[in-house]
Amino acid sequence: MSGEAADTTTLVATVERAAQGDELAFARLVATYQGDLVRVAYVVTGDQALAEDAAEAAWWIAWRKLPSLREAASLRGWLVAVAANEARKLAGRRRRHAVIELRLEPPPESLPDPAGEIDAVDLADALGRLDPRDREVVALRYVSDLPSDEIGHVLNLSASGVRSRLARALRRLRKDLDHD
Amino acid sequence: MTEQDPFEARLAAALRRYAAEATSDLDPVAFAHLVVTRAPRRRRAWQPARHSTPVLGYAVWLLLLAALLAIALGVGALNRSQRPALGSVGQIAFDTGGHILLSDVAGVVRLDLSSAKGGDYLPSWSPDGTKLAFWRETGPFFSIVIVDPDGRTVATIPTEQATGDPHSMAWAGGAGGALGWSPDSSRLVCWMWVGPQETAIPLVFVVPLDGSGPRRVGDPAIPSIDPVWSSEGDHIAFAGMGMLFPQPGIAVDSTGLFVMDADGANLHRVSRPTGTTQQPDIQSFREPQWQPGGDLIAYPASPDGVLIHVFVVRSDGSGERDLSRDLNLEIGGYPLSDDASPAWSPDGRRIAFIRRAEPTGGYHPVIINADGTNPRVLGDLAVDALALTWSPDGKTVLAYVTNPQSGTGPVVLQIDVDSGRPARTIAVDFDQRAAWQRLPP
Repeated sequence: MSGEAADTTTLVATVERAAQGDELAFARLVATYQGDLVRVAYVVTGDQALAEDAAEAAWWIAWRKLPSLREAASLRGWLVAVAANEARKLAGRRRRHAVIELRLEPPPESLPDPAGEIDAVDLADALGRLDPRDREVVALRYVSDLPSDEIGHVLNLSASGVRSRLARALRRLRKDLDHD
Repeated sequence: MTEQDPFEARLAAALRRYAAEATSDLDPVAFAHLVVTRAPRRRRAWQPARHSTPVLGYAVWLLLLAALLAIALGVGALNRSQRPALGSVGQIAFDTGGHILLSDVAGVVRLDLSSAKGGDYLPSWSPDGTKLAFWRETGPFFSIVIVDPDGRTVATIPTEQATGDPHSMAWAGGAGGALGWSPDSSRLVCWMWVGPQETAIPLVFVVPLDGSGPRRVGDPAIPSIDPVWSSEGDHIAFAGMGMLFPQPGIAVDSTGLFVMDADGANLHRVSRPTGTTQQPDIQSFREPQWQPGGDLIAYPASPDGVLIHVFVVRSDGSGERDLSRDLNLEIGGYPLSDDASPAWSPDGRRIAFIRRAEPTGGYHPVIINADGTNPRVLGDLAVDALALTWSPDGKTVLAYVTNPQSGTGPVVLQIDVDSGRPARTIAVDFDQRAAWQRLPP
């Protein structure tokens, strides 16, 4: 049995146990995927505290919905999509607040990229100008590495629909960030 | 897999570096224990459960039916006594990209009201249809702008002095920050951030149009958002969010749905969180809606700390009822769902809300009578989470829809309430709010 297959088997078993109410199995899932959830939520919200709130909200939903998850192997994609969705709702409620904070208080570690690449402050501002729905797709594609068809599955969009939305977001980000 | 262009590759790398700034110190074992113990799994609705104690079960059912009948009769009497007249349909105001657009009923834009640098947001028509209010961003503060239906400015109301602190954000962010008109179209109610950014809390302000400026009402120890006028204009309901502001000076137990007189007196809570909630609940009690011509307040709340349901309650706290609990509406075969963003029909007879169906997380519009009867999903449409907007004649609702096949949009659909079919597509992409002008019948 390959390592990947073994990992998949372990994951399926862990998900099944968590779905049956096993607290320890659920804790294992939290430990495994919490970082993924916070990162994708951070790109959508631009705010560390909101990202953590979104990730925690996603876990409460996940606990409730695990028994209805049809494919345990797709757990990660489903979880990050739930976190991104929760983050989008939070970002929508505090949208203007977050954008203003980004402009006034750039994070201290946001120095220009040494390779002359995209600056973190510019990126944060450009993300803040995107529609939250577009930020959600961008985060799932580039931070969580989900393919278009998987994003479409979890967001109830067609793969071509996801690509269309990504293309729109990329056009806007390119306009804001591509100065080469 | 298609090859990334150089910019896309740079963007992906930058996004990963940016995302890596976010960290979490969550203790997975303690957190999992909290979730498991506080959110016991719910029994599926199709599983029989009431047959184990049939005699007691029948008695409980009889009592429940009697209670429901009493509530239904009460609601009916309320509606019959003060049912407001429907209006006819005027212009639709949207905010999009920091601009306020006015369109006709077909979505043809006839006016762009915005010329100010910084942006305009959250339009709201007065009940008499003669004025439109919205927020205008002017530096760190926001002003309230009132225009007539032709876009001529009637008044500009600054907020600096009201919020009182030069560092205040002075912004009522999110869709819930919309300006609420009193029924006589003479006053507005809203919430604004007050205090330095690090410790700012939201508080409620009443804004008369007589030039006297915004006036804070309510209790400064209760973080207060989403205020709404009563149907008579003599009371204000709002969401208390104390749970989200654990800081000195904030009342610890100040989360829930509150009602006060229009001048802030007689403040009292009419609904409180259930005892099972151990995490800050950001959805409960948000954007309450007062029944036109009646005394019921519709609002989202969690009955168990997990699910979100639509509730109604009278302004004195009596008659609280979970409308979602007994709905027999399965979307995609899954009965578990979250309900939110209730919106009363103009005649106060029905409530539209958004149901998040599982397992896809798609949102669907639902219509239900005020007494909880006749629930139905409004067409086979996956809409956005933004609230539905009723037309003044009560015949259609506006919903925000993304075409799931093409990913195009989002677009705004007018959905015929009776048939559930899309009546018209409006190609205007609004950010947070669409408001529909009410003209005389």
